Amino acid sequence: MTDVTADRRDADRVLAGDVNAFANLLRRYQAQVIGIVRRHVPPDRVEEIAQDVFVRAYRSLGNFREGDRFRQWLSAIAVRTCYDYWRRRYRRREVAVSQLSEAHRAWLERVGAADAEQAWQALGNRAEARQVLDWALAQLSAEDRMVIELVHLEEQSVQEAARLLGWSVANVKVRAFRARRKMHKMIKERLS
Amino acid sequence: MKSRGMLVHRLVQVLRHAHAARPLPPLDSRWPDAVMRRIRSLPEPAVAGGGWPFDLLVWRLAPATGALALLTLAVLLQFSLISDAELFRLWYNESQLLSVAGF
Repeated sequence: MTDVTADRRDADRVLAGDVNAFANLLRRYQAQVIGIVRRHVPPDRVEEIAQDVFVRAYRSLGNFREGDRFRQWLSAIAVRTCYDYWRRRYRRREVAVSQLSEAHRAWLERVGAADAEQAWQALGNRAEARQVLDWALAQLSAEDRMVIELVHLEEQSVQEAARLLGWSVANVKVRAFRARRKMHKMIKERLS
Repeated sequence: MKSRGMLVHRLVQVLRHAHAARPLPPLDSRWPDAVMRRIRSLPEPAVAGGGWPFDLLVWRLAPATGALALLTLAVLLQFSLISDAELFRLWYNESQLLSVAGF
């Protein structure tokens, strides 16, 4: 039995009242959901947000239509749950913009000096890289953050980002352009 | 001397690596059980009907409803039951009556 058939069968069983059938969907897709969530929310919130994704999927299971792919349907729920997490945090003004330290400045200089792709990868794996990335993302709005992450950092197509976020393609295009310009300006100021 | 634009481009490449390499925090082995416990505490999910969900329908119809409301308002203003001239005459007569009565 393919995953698509098994997903439909399990979803139908849950809708018919067999809640335990949801455990099959959870088992099949927990790695995928956690893989998405870990890229968009802080590490200490991954478990909680991933749990919220499955709760939301369970609540909306009635909207999972014949012919939809559960994997794609669930990934849209995961991305929107992460987006909602940031919206809540921005609304409560919980996103603190930290200052870059000397270590970050030194790391930025090393990026400037590195020439090879391998060196970029090594620099990208360092903790400073994530801290500089988080510093830059913290200065964007929740919307710009999601668009930057999906379109520019994960290199997803504008159409796919629009599907995941539930926005129009035009909206994602405009936001992606503006957010990229904003981020480039920020980085340029830091490099100068 | 490298241009600043090139440095930004390189930095974006490095940040792309950093984003992809975000570490996966160690998951509690009881996490799936916790999710299922929460799921079991929820009411059964509602089966959607064949048509569009109501809230989606409301949002889809909102622009048309708004346009219709504006059009109706414009028509009502255009074909007011009482004309401006008549309204003025009524007001004028009333003020005449009040002045005669000594108010």
